[in-house]
Amino acid sequence: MQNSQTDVWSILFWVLIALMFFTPLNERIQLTYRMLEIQSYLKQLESYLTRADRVFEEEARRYGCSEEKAKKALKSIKGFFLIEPVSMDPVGIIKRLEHLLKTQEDRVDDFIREVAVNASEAERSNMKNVLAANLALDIIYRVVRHIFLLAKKTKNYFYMVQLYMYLPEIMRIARSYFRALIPLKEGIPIGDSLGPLVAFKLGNGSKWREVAKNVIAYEREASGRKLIIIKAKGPGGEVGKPGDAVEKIVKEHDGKVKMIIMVDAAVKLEGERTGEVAEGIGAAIGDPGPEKYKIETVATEYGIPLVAIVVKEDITEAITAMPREVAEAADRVVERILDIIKKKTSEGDVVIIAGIGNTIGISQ
Amino acid sequence: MGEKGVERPATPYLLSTLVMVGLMMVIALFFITLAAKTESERNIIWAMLGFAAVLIVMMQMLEVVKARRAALEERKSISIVIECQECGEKLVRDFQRGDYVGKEEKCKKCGGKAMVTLIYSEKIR
Repeated sequence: MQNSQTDVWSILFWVLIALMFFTPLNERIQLTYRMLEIQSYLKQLESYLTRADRVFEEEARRYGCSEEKAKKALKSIKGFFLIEPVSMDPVGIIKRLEHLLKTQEDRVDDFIREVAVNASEAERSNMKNVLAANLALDIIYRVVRHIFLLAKKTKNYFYMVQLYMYLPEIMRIARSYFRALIPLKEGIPIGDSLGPLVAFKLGNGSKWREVAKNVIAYEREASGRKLIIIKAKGPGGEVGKPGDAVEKIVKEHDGKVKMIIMVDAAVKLEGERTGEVAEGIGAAIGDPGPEKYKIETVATEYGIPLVAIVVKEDITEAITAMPREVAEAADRVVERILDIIKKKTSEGDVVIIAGIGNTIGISQ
Repeated sequence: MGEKGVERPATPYLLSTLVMVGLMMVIALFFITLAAKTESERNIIWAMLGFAAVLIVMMQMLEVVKARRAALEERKSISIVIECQECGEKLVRDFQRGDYVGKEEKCKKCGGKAMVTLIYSEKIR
């Protein structure tokens, strides 16, 4: 009796083993297991988004908007998108992209003006940054939820595995945007503000004028050279249009500019030290295209060398409060710029130095 | 300032722990009915599986502790450096909303013109 019972269980056991090996049953078990994990990450993303909404609403209330109006306005702008211009015929794509970006900027400006009625210009810029972080979190949440639900609906193990593979990186980016909310709303310089900080250190105390939309230019002399230092107009969170500024300044000098030095923060590779300074060639700017295009075009037209100086940091450091290592690197960058100018230019030459990045928390 | 920016870490481990322990219980039942013929053999299998279950729970709990510790390590303080342009005095204090690089203040030492020259974050140790 005991033997026959054991035989039945033994058969059942081997049937189960066979099912696990030769059918997708093991995949289904793993799918369920992974789904549970992804679901908890999705909840975390949802909580980031809820808290980001709360930050935006609190800021709107602070600047004279009612709670109900703030909620309604935020709901109306969620899912805001930009359709990239058609690239099958690339002729004039930069102009078309620039037009779309300008329209988007105007739309966001109008939205912020409606919501933050009593805010100053700088505070409105900071609100715009808070909104950008909120919208980034919103799109991350929507995409992750979409793949998760699609995998669940189709019971497709590979959808789930792909999502699972990318989740650590997705969560790192989402966490960075979440941590950026407080510095952005309070106007604390972020890692990306390195360029404007260097420009401030170089130009502070000199006369400045607005040369393009939200971009200022200082003028000073150093070792007999004329330095024109540009940065976005602070202390609100602006990046401005440095391409327009560089183009205008070069044309004002009839192209007689000896060198354009661009300073920006750059995403470091794992293992690289935060605050490491590196030098290269080209336009150091991470815009969607138009500003970089303008700088490259004007530099090529007049044969002006483009020197890039970057300070390494990771994505979290780039969009959250500026780490001490990056802030301290600004002095080393200033020294390096002055050294390059001394070695590569002569007295009487004109040099443009462009501090690229978000100027939040840095005035002129 | 530092405390405000810290989020509570994810604890995606509870559900997965329950699933793993549940699966182990199913396997245990199989082995007990299949392999164990005497009471002592059954006890040994139970003990081994119990040990494995405790190990899994401990490993998962360790992950939670690690995640929380990582979040705590992320706490940062924001400091500002104010430099007097007359006497050269340098003062470091906590950031307050409304501070920005280039903001003019009065020097606490000589009463002269001072300026915020740096704002940076540091890990709280």
